Parts: sequence; C-alpha cells; structure tokens
Amino acid sequence: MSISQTTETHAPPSKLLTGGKKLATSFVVILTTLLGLLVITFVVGRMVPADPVIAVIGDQADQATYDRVYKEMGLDRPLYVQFGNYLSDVVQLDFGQSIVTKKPVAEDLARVFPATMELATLATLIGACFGIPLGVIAAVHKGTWIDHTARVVGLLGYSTPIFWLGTIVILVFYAHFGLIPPGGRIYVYDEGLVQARTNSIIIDSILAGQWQVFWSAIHHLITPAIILGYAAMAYLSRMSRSFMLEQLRQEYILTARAKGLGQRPIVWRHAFRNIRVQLLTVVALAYCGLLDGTVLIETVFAWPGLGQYLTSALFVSDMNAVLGSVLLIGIISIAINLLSDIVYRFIDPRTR
Amino acid sequence: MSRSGTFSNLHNWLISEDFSSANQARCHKAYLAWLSLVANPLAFAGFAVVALLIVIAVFAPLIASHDPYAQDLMMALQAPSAAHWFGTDEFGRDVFARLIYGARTTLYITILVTVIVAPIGFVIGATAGYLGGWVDVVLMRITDIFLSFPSLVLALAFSAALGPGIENAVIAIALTVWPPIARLARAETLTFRHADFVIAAELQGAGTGRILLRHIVPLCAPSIVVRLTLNMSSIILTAAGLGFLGLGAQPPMAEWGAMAASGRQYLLDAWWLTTVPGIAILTVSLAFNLLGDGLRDIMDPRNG
Amino acid sequence: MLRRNLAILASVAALSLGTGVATAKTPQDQLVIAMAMSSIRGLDPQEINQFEAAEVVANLYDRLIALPPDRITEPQPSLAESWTVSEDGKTFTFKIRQGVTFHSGNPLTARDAEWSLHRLVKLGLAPSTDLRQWGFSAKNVDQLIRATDDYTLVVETPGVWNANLILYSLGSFSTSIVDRKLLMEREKNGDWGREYLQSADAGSGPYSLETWRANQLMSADAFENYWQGKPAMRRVFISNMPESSAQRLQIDAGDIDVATRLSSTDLGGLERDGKVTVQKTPGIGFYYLALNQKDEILSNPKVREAFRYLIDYDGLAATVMKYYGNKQQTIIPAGLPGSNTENPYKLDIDKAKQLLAEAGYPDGFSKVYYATPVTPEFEVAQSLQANAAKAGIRLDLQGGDHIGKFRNREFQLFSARSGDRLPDPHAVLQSYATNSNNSDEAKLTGLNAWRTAWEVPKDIQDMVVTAAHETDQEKRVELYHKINEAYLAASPALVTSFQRTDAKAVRTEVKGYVGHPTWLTRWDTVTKSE
Repeated sequence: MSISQTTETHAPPSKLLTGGKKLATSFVVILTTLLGLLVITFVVGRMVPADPVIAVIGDQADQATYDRVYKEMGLDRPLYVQFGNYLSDVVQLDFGQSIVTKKPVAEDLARVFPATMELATLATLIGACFGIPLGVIAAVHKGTWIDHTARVVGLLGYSTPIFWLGTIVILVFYAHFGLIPPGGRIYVYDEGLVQARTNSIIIDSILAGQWQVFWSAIHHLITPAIILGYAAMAYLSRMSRSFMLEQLRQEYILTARAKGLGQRPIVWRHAFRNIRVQLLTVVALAYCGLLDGTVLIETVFAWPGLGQYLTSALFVSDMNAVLGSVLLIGIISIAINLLSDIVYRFIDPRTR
Repeated sequence: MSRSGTFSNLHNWLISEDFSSANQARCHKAYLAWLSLVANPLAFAGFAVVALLIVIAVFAPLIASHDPYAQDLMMALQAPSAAHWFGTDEFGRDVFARLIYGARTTLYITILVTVIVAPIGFVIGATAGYLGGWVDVVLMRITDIFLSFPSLVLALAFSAALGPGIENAVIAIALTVWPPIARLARAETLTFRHADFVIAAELQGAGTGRILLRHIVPLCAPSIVVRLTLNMSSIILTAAGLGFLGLGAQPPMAEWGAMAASGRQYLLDAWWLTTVPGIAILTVSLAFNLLGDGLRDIMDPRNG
Repeated sequence: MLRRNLAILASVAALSLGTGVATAKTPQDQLVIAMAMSSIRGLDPQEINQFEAAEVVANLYDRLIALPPDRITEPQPSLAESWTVSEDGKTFTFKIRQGVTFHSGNPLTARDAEWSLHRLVKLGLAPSTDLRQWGFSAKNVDQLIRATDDYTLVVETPGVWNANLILYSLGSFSTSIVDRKLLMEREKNGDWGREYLQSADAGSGPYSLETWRANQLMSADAFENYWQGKPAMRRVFISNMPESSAQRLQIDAGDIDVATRLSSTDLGGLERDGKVTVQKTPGIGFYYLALNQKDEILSNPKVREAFRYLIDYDGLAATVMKYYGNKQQTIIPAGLPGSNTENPYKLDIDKAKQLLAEAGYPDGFSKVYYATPVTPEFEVAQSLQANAAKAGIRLDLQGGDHIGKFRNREFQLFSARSGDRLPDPHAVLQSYATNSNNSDEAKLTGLNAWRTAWEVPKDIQDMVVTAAHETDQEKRVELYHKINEAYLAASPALVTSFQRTDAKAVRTEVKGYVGHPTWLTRWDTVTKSE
C-alpha cells in the first residue's frame, strides 16, 4: 500500500549519488538534504495550531505559569534564533523533551525504534521471500493467467488500506477463532522477565534464554509482519517482474536458449544473477516504504514502536516527539538509500 | 442506413490510416488506445469501476435513498436490512447513502490533488530539465528532500501542522505527490531538450515558457498522465490513512477513511461500519491501479 | 522456491500458534488494567492533572485524609490519625501517624507532609489550585503550613473557609505526601526533584513503582511494609490500549481484568455477556457547551437559550452517553449538597427556531465549533451539529486540540467535559459561576466562565463566594439550592447537558476494584475469586 509507486522511478536508484560524482559532492548533497529535512520539521513545528505551552503546563494553570514557561521554551525569541537553537540541539541529538513521557525524545526513540525495526525487518523478509519468486515466475510466464494472477495479487497489495486489513484480521482471527494475540509485543504479564539490553525483545529474550518470552514475542510479531509483508511483496513482485522481463529480452538469454539450456537454469542461474543487485536496492526501498506502513499498523496492533509513538504524540500535540520521529524516519530513509547506492556501486561491475 | 452500418463506417473511418485531416489522425490515435484498453480485460475492469465511481459521485443525490447527514439516534447501529442496505452508523445515519456521498469526497480529493500537483510538478521538473545548471541542481535538491520522507509520514506532519480538515489534507497530500511528477517531467524533458524542433523554436526566438508549453508539454503528457493515474490510488490510500488518524475530512462529511476509522469503535457489534467503506476504498484504489497499469502498457509498451 | 517458502512460513506460523496461549488468563495474584495511557504525563503528584495518572498516584502515595469512594463527602483518617479545627475555623492541627515508612525505607514524618504541601504550592503547577484557591501562595505558605514537631502538622488558612473544603483538598491526589529525604537527594537545580519524579515514585502507598514506560506499560509491586498490611495483588499492570474494541476483546477473553476506555456500545455488549460488571462512577464535572460571549450573536440570551433546545438529551442518554453521563441540566453535580433532578429542557427544534427568530436570526447563522475528537465528546458534538443544522445554524465542526484557544477566548463554540477534584459544589461553581473580572487583561484563564467571557450575574457570584465561607452546613445547603436554581434560569453561556460518569468494566472474579469519583481508585482493596 504505502510503498508509493513513485519509488519505481529509482531503480536503479541513484537519487543521492549520480554517475561519477566525487565523494565530497555527495557529502554536500547529503548535508543539504539533511538541512532540508530540518527546515521542514522546524516549519511544521511552528505551524502547529495547538498551543505548545498549554501542552506542557496543562489546562488549568494560571497566567503567570504560562508566561514563565513560554519564556523557558524560548518562544519569545525571533524565528531565526529559534531555528538556530533547534539546529544546534539536533546536532547534539537533543530533540527536546516529550511532554507525554517527560523524557528526552532521543531516549524515547532509542527505546521504541527497535520494535519497529523488528516488525519492518520481518515484513521485508516475508515480502522478499514471496514477492521476488512471484515476480520472476510472472515474468517467465508473461501474458498467461499466471502473470495476470500475479499482477492482480500485486495490485491488491498496493490497493488495500492497511489499517483496515489489520482491523479485519483481528476481528476474524482473534475475536472469532482466538488464533492470534490481540496486539502488543508480548503478554503484559511476561513483562519484566527479560532485561532490556537491545530493546529488541526477540534478541533480549534469546540473550536471557527466556524461550517462553521469545515465543510470545514471535507469536505477537507474526501477524502484523505478514500484513505489512504483503504490501512489500506486492511492490517487490512487480519490480522483479519488470527487471526479469528486461533480462529475458537480452541477447545472452537468447544465446543460452539457442545453446539448448533449459528454462530453469536460464532463469535462475543467468537472468536472476543479473538482477540481484537491482533487487537489493529495491528491497532497501521497500524497507523505507514499510516505515510508512508501520505508522498505521502499529496503531491497529498496539505495537509499541515508532509509528505508535508518532501517532499518539500527534493526538496530544506533543510536537517535540512528532518532529523527532519524523526526522528519524527521514534520516533512516536517506541512510538506507545511501547504503543501497554504495552497495550498488560496489557490486555492480558496470558502475565500477 | 442501419445502425450497425453507421458504427462500422465510423470504425472504418477511425481505423483508417489514410488521414484526411489532423483531426482524424487524433481520433485515430485515441480510438486505437480505446481498442487496446477494451482488449485488456483487467484495465477495462479498472476503467469501468472508475467510470462507475464518477457516475455515482455525479448522481449521488439520485442514487442515495436516504439523507447521508440525517441523524436518528434511536435508529443507531442497525444491521443491514431492506430499508438500510448497509445498515446504519452510530448516529443512525444510512451507511449506503454515506458510501455514495463518500464517492464524491474521494473523487474531490483525488481530482483536487491531481489538479494541484500536475502543473506544479511539471513546471518544476521541466524548468529544471530545460534550463539545467544551478536551477536544475536547486530544484532537484528540493525535490529530493521531499522524496526522502515516506509519503504518509510527510503528509501526517503537514496535516498536523495545518490542522485537520479536507482542504488541508489535500494540501498535505499534494506536498507528497509532486516530487515524483517533477522528476518524471525532468527526465522526459531531458530527452527532448536537444531535439531539432526545440532548437528550431529557440532559433525562432520563442521564450522558455512558450517552448515548455507548446513543445514539451504535449510530449511529456502521456507518461505524466499514466503516472498520475497510478498515483490516484496512493492519494486515496493516504487520504484514507489521514482520515483514519482523524486528520482528514471533518464531520459530518462522509469520507471512506474516516468512516472506516470511526466504525472500528463499533467493530464487534456493527461489522458493516468498517467493512463496507474499507471494501469501497480497496475497490476504487485497485481500479485506479489496474487502469494506470493498463494505460502504461498501451502508451509505453516497453515495460508491458 | 515459492512453494518452499510457503512451507517454511506455514511451519513457523504453526509453531508460533501452537505455543501461543491466545486466550491466556491473567494470573491469580496479578491485576491487569487497560488504559489509554497517552494522557498520562509523568507521575509527579504535584504536577499531574488528569484522571488516568491520578489512579496511579493514588496507589503509589498516601494522603493525610482519605475520601472513601462510598462516603466521598466524609473525610477519614489516613496518614493523619486525627485532627482538630480551632474555634475561629482557621487553624487545622493534624496528628501524623507513627511508624509509617516510605518505599525507600525512610520514616514518614510531619516534615515530609510540610515539604510536600510547600512543594505543591511553590511549584505552582496545574494542581496547585487545590491549595492556592484558599489563599495559599509561595510567599505565605512557609508561614501558614508548618510541622511543629515530627508528628504534628499545623495548617492555617488565610481566610475562613468551610472546614470540609480544606479537608477535601488534603485528600486530593495533588496533596500526596512525598519522600522529602529521597527527593532532596535527587534534586537538580532546585527543581524539588521534579525531573526525577516524572518516572519514579517517592511514596508510602500500597504499591511501589516497578516499571514505567510512558505510553506503553506500568507495573507496580505490592509494598511489603504498607501500614495497612500488604495488599493481596502481588503485582499490578497498566497496559496501554487506546482502542475500545481491543479492550473489549481482551477483557472478554480474560487477557485483562479491568477496562477503562470502552465505548457505550462495547460496554453494553459486555454487560449483556455477563462476564464483567460495568461500574458507572459519577464524577464532579459536566459535559458542557461554551458559547463565547464576545460574539455578538452568541451573547444574545435568546440564542443561548435556543442551544439548550438543540441538544438531544434523551437520544444521547440512550446511546453514546449511556455509560458516560447522566442527563443533568443544572450546575451542582448529583449527590452533592444543593443538587436537584430538574431537567426542564429537551430536544425541540421548533422551539429553538422560534427563539432564534425572536432574537432576530430567523435564518440562523454560521459558526465555527471546536471539540475534542474522542469518544463520547465528539459524538455529542456531531449530534449537536446535526440538530443545529435543522434549526438553521451551520456549525463548522473542527476536531483537534483546541483547549489553548478556549483558554484565550479565541473561539466561537467549544465543547468538552470537565472534572474537578473536590467533592463539593464549590469546585464546580468556582469555575462555572464566578468571574470577578471579565476583561481580557484579567486572564483568569483557569475559570470556564472567564474563558467564555461570561459576565456571570452578580447575585450568583456573590452567593458562590458566601457559600464557600459559610461554616454552617445547613445554611450552605440552602444557598447551593438557590444558586442551582438561579444558574438554571440565567440561560448560562456554559450549557451543561450531562453529569460526567466514568465507566469501567471489571471482570466478575475481580472484587474490590471500586471506581472513585475524584479518581483515587485503590488497588490494595482488590482480590480475585477463583
């Protein structure tokens, strides 16, 4: 769903680094992009209609308190000074304090992000394991019913409102059949059994040897991950289909065919080998796109990750938390794009 | 002359490549596109649903049997029946009527976003591509900054800043949709930048605006139209997502995303409240995708 | 490849489902409460201002006075063993219970009580109203509230107030007694340990905080050395569950014991199934509609009166408000002195139209209407919007966090619900019926009447003030009856439609979990039957 089709234009995605530009230029490019992100979040933060001071002091406080906090928050200074302060704070990884958790937003993000990462990683894995073979098969059987079915399955993944699908799944599989947990990351009374070391409950429970908690965590993770994974699968199958078609048109395939090689080895040994790199970058993009999907699915499944943190902060106008999360998501997207670019350049002989 | 005779004459006129006028040539092209659309059952199904959506939206007052805004708390949460085909919601409003009127909202959002985004995306992209140099660098940098956010998150941040409401949601969505259009327009422009007819126009002293409008727009249009069609579904889904988070349409307006979201509160007693609008979103968004996919096959056979 | 992946996934899914205990029950000696935790902003008793957080604080801390849920207007001893009030009604002397310890192990003395009350007044945050409204201020509190020895606390009030008002205040969560020694160790830049207390506990209550993850989870363990004995529930969890349907499904399956954020439909469904008891605890507050009196149209008394005919009291009472409120159009909450059951208004579009015509607006008008998009407030707002439309008033309803605009008088219509902490009519009346200076500069932003720019009739204001100072209970009750009548007749700019009730679903095997009108629900009284 939320992996917008727009990302199709970036395969191969050289949107940050183009052609043979030097590392220094690309560094400047990244810096300006980051600065742009900051400008956007800053502007958004100033535009918010809800009163940030009330958000801190509550509804019934008197005017003197209001005025004092207003000053404390630096809201009486000119905008450029505020932006300067914001910039220097962010550089020091200080995103301000959340009015809900009363903790530094950076600390909160470190706590909630691993949960989102668990979800997005498993979802990407699921998406890749099913989407890529599906796309390749569709390409091989282009124009047949297999291709059409794959196309509809893929487009369905693009078209389903993910929050709605989650709701229906909970209704059917939890409420009616009692097969899946209702949401959350583990059962509440399993809380406190493992020490939080990495904030990834799966890793933590393995480290602690708490297998009951481990299975509880997997059990909670699997449903939202499958739903998100479906969205990723849709995207990946479409992309791999079009990459594969491109390859199958190439001369070397015709040569291989002429040599009498079978369909399977041609597709999997030759053609697939050549699209691996492209696929890698597309998988990276799918991962970015899933960050979008987690925002909604975490709300539905009460998954205590970045998405839920962001949306619940939004409802109570906790703007430091909102902007911190948005910024983090933006930075991760840039980082993943960058990483996939670098990998692309290293692996793909043509760009070397 | 018999009716079928008229049609077959028309068909022959349209299919003939011995053009007697530029008009005929244009009609010929459109007719061929239409024929290949009909030949592609999936794309045609998508087209049919979109057409149906438009008909429903236009004739909503005639189709809906009830007033979508009329409340009757005593009739709240009634199951689907002959009187209320899709039941009633928490205020006793007819869900079928709201679904029908919701088609208007959905269409309104998609059209408005498209109308805003197409010219902006085109102007930025084409200007960057045509002028090149630092203009290109600056414009594309801005585009990339917007692109680096996942679209829903960006729309979320903007609608939070602008405040809830359907116009604000449209602006927020538009802000996330224009960058890919701009990139596409730039890429297309680059391929035509040094074409003979552009150079010729330049030599004749045509201004930048005129060249963009007269020469570049017509050439970029097909691929941008395809992209916009494919985008429609993500616009619908983003709007629904915003509605789900309470940031989209405000009451009492009927909007499918908001309907699905508020229906979740009554999920266990009134499954129809969230199921029906959800299926509507799914259907329409799938239809736009099928149509867009089909159009791409037709206009850009390479990727078919 | 696809087939193989399918097989792998299927086996993983089967394995995880097989080991899963999807309908697990909560353990016998643990209590799991589901809440919408996003409104809990820290756990500092002298800072919080909201009922979900108050329930946590109520159990981590004790107060001088206890207000039992079933006899809310009768102050009972708690950390104060006994007290005396001087002849002139201005000096309260409390004898502090000996042998009570904090969770830290520090003994609790009158010095802690003194420090806690000073802390409340001097921090000056939202709940400090509880003491400040009686005239305490950062300047005079050192002198007026003092520990004369380790087990005696003297509280002098700046003026004469009804003694119950002072005692109720000392039973509010904001006057919880905190561990002075511990907090002084944790103090940073003279913040009274405020930063530390956001996510920690410095109390002597029946439970001590174990885990606090904002917006996600709270767990608290029974305190071994609690002065009233160790509670039965070894551990209490609060789990964040903002969605009504999720809470309903889970309480139905036994995954949680108490659900606190359910829609009326879900509460109705649960009650039918019989696995839970639904508690409907009346609160000290109302669902209200505020009409800004700076607006020319809305300040017309006939227009104000018209709005009273545009609320579908009965329709709402039967549906969305079934568990969230009791129909009430007067201003003194039911159950308190002076309240009555008079509800003269009902939905009457024609009457409203007639009033609008008399006011000179036969074709209605358009206004912007702010409301909070949460259940049931938003449903109430949408219902009013639809009825107003029938009378020709076009309301542009905008959901969102508009409380700041309400405070600054920058609104036209606004609706919300209020909740006060003192089980006394004065708590409500002060906010709804006093506005000593209606100018913009006065900035009495804590008062609903000022926010609405409503020039409350002088006689009502005078009576409210007199009643608060009145020490004779009978005269007081009589005054409150009068105020109630006068308010109803004044076509107020603050229209009340329902008395707030807080609904909680509790599984039938859980005993002793009793909703508290001023949000001090206790966990130490909870037991579970087989």
